[in-house]
Amino acid sequence: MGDWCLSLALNVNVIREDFPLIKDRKIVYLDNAATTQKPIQVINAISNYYMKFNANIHRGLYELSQEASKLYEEAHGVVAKFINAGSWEEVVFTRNATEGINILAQALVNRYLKPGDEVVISIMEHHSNMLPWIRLSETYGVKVKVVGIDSDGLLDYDELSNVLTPRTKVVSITHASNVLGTLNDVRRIAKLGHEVDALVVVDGAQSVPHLPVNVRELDVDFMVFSGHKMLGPTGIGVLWGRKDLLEDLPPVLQGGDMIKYVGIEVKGGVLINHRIIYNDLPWKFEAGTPNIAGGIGLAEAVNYLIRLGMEEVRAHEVELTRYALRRLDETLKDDIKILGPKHPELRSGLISIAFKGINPHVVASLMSTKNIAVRSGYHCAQPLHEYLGVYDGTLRASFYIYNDVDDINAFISSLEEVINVLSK
Amino acid sequence: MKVIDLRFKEPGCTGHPVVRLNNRLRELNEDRVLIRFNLEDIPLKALELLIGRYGYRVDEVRNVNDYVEVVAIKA
Ligand SMILES: Cc1ncc(COP(=O)(O)O)c(C=O)c1O
Repeated sequence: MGDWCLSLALNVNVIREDFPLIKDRKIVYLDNAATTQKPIQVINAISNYYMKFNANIHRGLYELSQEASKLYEEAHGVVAKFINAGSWEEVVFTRNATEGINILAQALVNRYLKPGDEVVISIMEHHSNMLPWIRLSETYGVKVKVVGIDSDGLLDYDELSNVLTPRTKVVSITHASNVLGTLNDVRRIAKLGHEVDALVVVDGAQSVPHLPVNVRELDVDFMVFSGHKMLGPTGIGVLWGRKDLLEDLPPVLQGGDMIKYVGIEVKGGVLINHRIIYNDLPWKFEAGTPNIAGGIGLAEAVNYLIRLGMEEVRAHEVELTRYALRRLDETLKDDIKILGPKHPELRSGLISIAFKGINPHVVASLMSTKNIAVRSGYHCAQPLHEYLGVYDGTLRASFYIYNDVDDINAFISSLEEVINVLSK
Repeated sequence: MKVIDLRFKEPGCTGHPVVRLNNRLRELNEDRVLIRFNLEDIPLKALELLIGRYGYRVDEVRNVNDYVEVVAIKA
């Protein structure tokens, strides 16, 4: 610890004041890749909505409904600006990143994909960006290709470029791995994908909360992410897509609010004809009553992040990661293996650790007796763990805006202690 | 006496014996519990610390064939 001079980009003491659950420091919360804590501003925005504006949107002519509709529509706009979308209509609210990819996969198979067409993913995908495509291979004969990684945990770009063919219709890869921390070069992936006219989908679940993301600069076609991993409430996520593409895709969920007109012709009690005109974007993809409060809460979370500055959020996490990597190397090098790239600039603010002969669940359980919240297991990326030969899973610590050096010191001391106990 | 049998690993994220032990102890309200487990899954020292969190301590340890039985009592 001695000669380490750390200058963090964010003022953690001020930030913590906004987080009721961690303000008193009773818990060292390092499971931010799973979900983040919520600032009081987000909690208040949600309760304020229910206390002052609650009504169903787009349905009532009364003022309350119109106010609720306006707030919900504005929330789309706040998110659109945050990721530099072309317009607010390109932002579809979903339940989470998982639902976003599922909706997209189903829409794409209904419009573009034919048996034998190829979808390219990587071995570092979360199950959410793997299973929806595998399902298409089971049900529609779509071929799924899986690109590997190198010994540093970086995507194998040569392999990616080699597996692409004129039959590749979709390249769907994560921006940041939730296990390795690896940050993928999305621009490069997009360029390679577009060279064969494939659509490029990015899982932004672990990037949008942590670094500046500009979908137009990245030149991708679709991106998904979850509100609850970026200070927002659970049950709200985003599917962003280029407007022309979203306009062309058929809706997946059917029901209220996603149509402009429905006419049916019934003869002898049987439907013989129908005419449906779908609603404009983004409503075409948001069937049924949406999570209005969730959308409003997400917009508040985005505003909170904008006030901090995403460059600062990223710089803060890079410094914490650099410090944690170095301290782990100093103290526990012989007992652990850290997955992913060595350099903090190449990774997001999370660290996954594999052990020799010690189960990560046992470690996490013992750490929880000291009020340290870390995650153990496969982190919904079991194929990646098997690919790496880490069959027992890993222990993952993931950082965010309210974490500081004290949290990392507490984590490492506790880890040292637990390893000592278990090695005896 | 309630028995918590952790000798068999279940697949999935919540199948590890440690996860199951935590889940069972959280919902139990017994003075004495018999815990059966494999030492490769949960070292004895770790078990002691884990049950301590729920107010139990180890009263008796028995080696049975290839597994271990611990009688835990409310401290
Ligand atoms: C990389 C990545 N993609 C997708 C998801 C799925 O997010 P959600 O469960 O919010 O849908 C996660 C969640 O951990 C993730 O880390």
